[in-house]
Amino acid sequence: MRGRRLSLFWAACAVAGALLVAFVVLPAASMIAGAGAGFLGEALRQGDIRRSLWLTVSAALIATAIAFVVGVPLAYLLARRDFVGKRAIEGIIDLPIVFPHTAAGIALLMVWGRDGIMGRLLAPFGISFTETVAGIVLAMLFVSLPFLVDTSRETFALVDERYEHVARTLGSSPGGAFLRVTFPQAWRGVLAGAVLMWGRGISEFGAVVILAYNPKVISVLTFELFEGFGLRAAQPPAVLIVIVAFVVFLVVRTVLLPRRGRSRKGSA
Amino acid sequence: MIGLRGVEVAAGAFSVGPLDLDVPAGEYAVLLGPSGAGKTLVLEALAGVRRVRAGRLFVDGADVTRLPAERRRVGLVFQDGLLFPHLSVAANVAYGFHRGNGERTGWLRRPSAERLAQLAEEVGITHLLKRRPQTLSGGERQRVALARALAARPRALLLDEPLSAVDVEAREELQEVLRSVCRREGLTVLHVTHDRAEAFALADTCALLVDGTLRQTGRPQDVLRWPADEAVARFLGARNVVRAVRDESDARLAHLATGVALRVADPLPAAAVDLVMRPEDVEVWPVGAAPPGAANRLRATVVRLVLQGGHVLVGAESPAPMEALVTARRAEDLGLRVGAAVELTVAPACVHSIPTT
Amino acid sequence: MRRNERSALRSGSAAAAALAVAAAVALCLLVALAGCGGKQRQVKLIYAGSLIVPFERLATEFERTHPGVEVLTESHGSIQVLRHVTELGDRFDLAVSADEQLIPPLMYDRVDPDTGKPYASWYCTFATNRMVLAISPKSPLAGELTAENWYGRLTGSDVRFGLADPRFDAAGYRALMVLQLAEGEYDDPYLFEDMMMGRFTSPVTVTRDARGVDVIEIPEILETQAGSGVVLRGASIQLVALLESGDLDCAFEYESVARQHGLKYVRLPSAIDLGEAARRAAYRRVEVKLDSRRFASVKPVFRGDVIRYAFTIPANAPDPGLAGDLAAFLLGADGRRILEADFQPVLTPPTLDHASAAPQEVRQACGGSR
Repeated sequence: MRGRRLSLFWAACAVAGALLVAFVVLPAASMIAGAGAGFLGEALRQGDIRRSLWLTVSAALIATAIAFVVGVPLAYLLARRDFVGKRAIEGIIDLPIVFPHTAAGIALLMVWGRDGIMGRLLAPFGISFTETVAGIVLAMLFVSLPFLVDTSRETFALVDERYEHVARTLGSSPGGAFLRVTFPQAWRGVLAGAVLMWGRGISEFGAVVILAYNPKVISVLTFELFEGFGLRAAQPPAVLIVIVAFVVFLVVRTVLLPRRGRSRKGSA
Repeated sequence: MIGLRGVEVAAGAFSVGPLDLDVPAGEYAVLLGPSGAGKTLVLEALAGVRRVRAGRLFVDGADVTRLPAERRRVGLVFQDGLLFPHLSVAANVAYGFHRGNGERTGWLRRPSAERLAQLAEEVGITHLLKRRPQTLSGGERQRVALARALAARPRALLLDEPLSAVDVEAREELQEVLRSVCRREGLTVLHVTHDRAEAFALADTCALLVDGTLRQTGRPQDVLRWPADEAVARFLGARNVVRAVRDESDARLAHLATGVALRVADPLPAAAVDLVMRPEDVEVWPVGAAPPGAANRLRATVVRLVLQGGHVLVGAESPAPMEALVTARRAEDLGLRVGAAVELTVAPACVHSIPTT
Repeated sequence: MRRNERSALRSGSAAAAALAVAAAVALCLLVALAGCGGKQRQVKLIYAGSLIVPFERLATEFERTHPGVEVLTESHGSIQVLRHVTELGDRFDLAVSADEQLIPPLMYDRVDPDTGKPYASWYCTFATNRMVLAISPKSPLAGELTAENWYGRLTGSDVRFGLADPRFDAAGYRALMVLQLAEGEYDDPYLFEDMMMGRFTSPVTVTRDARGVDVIEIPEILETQAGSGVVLRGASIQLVALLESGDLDCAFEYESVARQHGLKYVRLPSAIDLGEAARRAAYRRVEVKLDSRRFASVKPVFRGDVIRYAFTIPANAPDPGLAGDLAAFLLGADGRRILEADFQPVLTPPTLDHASAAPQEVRQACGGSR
């Protein structure tokens, strides 16, 4: 009797889940099916699509790297310390998520454009953020950094702070304790956040299109090809980036996943 | 040595102190008290991972209050070991090894195998060095934690309930290890626990921490015999605490509310006192069989018998509730059963008085 | 044990029920939102981006004078405007292009697969314009540029100028025509080359063909080189925002657009600015050819001519009646007033191509036919 009732609940969960998965799979599958292998090969031969693909993937990687360097310390700080204004800071870090992407692009343009505070500051050094790769990286960084910071923060919070206390009594500075004890236990979560951020970066359109329309990232190229040449023209780049992203996600998760069972915190 | 002067530590709304405590160099001190008394906070403050709200901390005579944790040379062992799960046992132990002491060699900073072996030998974990912390038993984990703390050559060692998570069989062995290692290294130890037996087994000095303040410090047997107040007495297992009034003419006589009078060895310090008697000091006799010279003789009825391994706790009404601890053998010989009438005697020297607060 | 079991059952099935309710609510919301079309009559308008300012006003006015009617608007580069109707299969009531010569190849010659008939069979020419060089108020060039020195100045490495993409927007290929025509005007046979050299990953070239016409060839992939100083956008109107923010020094724009946004501009000689009907012969000596092997849906040759804006009502318009009303409104006194107030020069009278195919109201508004 009990077994049967509980499985109704699980069945409901499974149904809801299946609907959601189908919701995602259907458009992706129809697009991939519509493109066809030969067509994709043809697309890879196009210089502009290839260049755009590479640009998109590498710019997102650079943005993720920057966020990693600056965001991980912040995430650690937020996980460990309480201070006045902490809630405000956390809210601010989450702002880019609610910013409409085109609005984010405009806001970035106002600061980093040729006439903006930072734009004018950096112009004498020959650094420009409009119509450059730097601008693309900037836009991607802005819209996707919450993913890395939030995930990392949650991961650090899950690592027992007492490990760090022990490490310090053994002679480690706070930084040493972080590097030798906390981060080795948290790196999987941080990496997951980084992958998420990278994925978010490659899909960005609104902010990039305003700040740096050229050189074209895959989303801008797809839009332009759609606008200018129609559905068939726009499919290949879209399909290619989806395939690239999916492969990356899969690879990263199969690397991360097998270790899952071991991480019982505080049990040692 | 370890020293606390007027130390106050706060965590949220709860605070401990002000505390004054001195543990001489090389001594094994146990901070004893019920759970939630704030003992862990004291250790954290000493280790340097928690700020003190007031007061000063001393290690080996030096004021370390402002010193960051990594420079205090104070070792910390937690109840659950907290071995770094991503490192092997050997790597855990070697964590505190320093280049400066020759413990790490080469540009890869490999830990010295000799020192590692020596520590492992001392603590009895040589066979565990290649293992991962997750595969160890509770007792093994604590040994590794101890070795790890010792590896950093601390001046003092702090132990936070190190034996509570260890099963009973391994506990005694571990106590042995703790005692011998600390004595050999000449470490000053502050061991925190709520377990009385543990304290009595290990401590040179006992400090009682109840409700955020230090009530009493002394040798374990002294604290046991002469608890400073009712809270301490109760915590230490003195179950017979009764209110009494000093006799007007005889300072060595006290009257209980029930009309019974008890004789004590030393003159009572105040007119109103609490009298404390340990169950093991209360002797049980068949009615009329108590030795005639016994100063304190009480008639009582057995209301409860609790078998505790080799002993029996006898609960009786005299009519004041009294508890006696007798060997199971004696209980059998007496033919004790609920409802039986008995006589209880307590030697005057075993009746301890505490001034009422 | 029974009691625990029962409460477990209860909580289990309660959870299942809650899940079902949530799913149902979500589904209902989705359906409701989808059906939220509104009960008003709608007229859908797609038009060239350079008309955005007057046309938004036009739409508002039309809604005001025709209560119960909602005007839905969309703007793109001129070529894309027409492609939306033909290739993307979007259905619009009115399609407006900044270049009348686009309508025959893109709409007359293309057949709607649903009806078997051409997408359009007539168009009405109603407005004109001229090309100018708009200048950003924040640019150091603001005081410098004149009608005499602009072409020399633009080749400077410190200058960023904007261009519409000739593959998508008429303003784009028109700007290129201006540059080519300038060679003759300023007697500088290398002007175009100097201007365009090194700007794109695949070069834009000019050759003189047998007829004596200068043919500008646009490579299939038109990408600007990093740091080249040329900024390309799919629609010329998108360059305005960049001018205003200072991220462009200047851009080739329509005069009406520059005036609408209060931008300073250099007035170009009428021999090259594609704005004088009398100069048509001169304009016709340049052409732009798209090297579009990949997506050869557009007959990729654009002939230089005086700027002529035209519109049509596609054959598959969802509401031809309202479309006709809107067209009449555009061509009538109200429409003319609005356009002229926004510096959009209007043709009086408007002219019709294939007038017999045009609806009654449009013919009437044009006051006669060709």
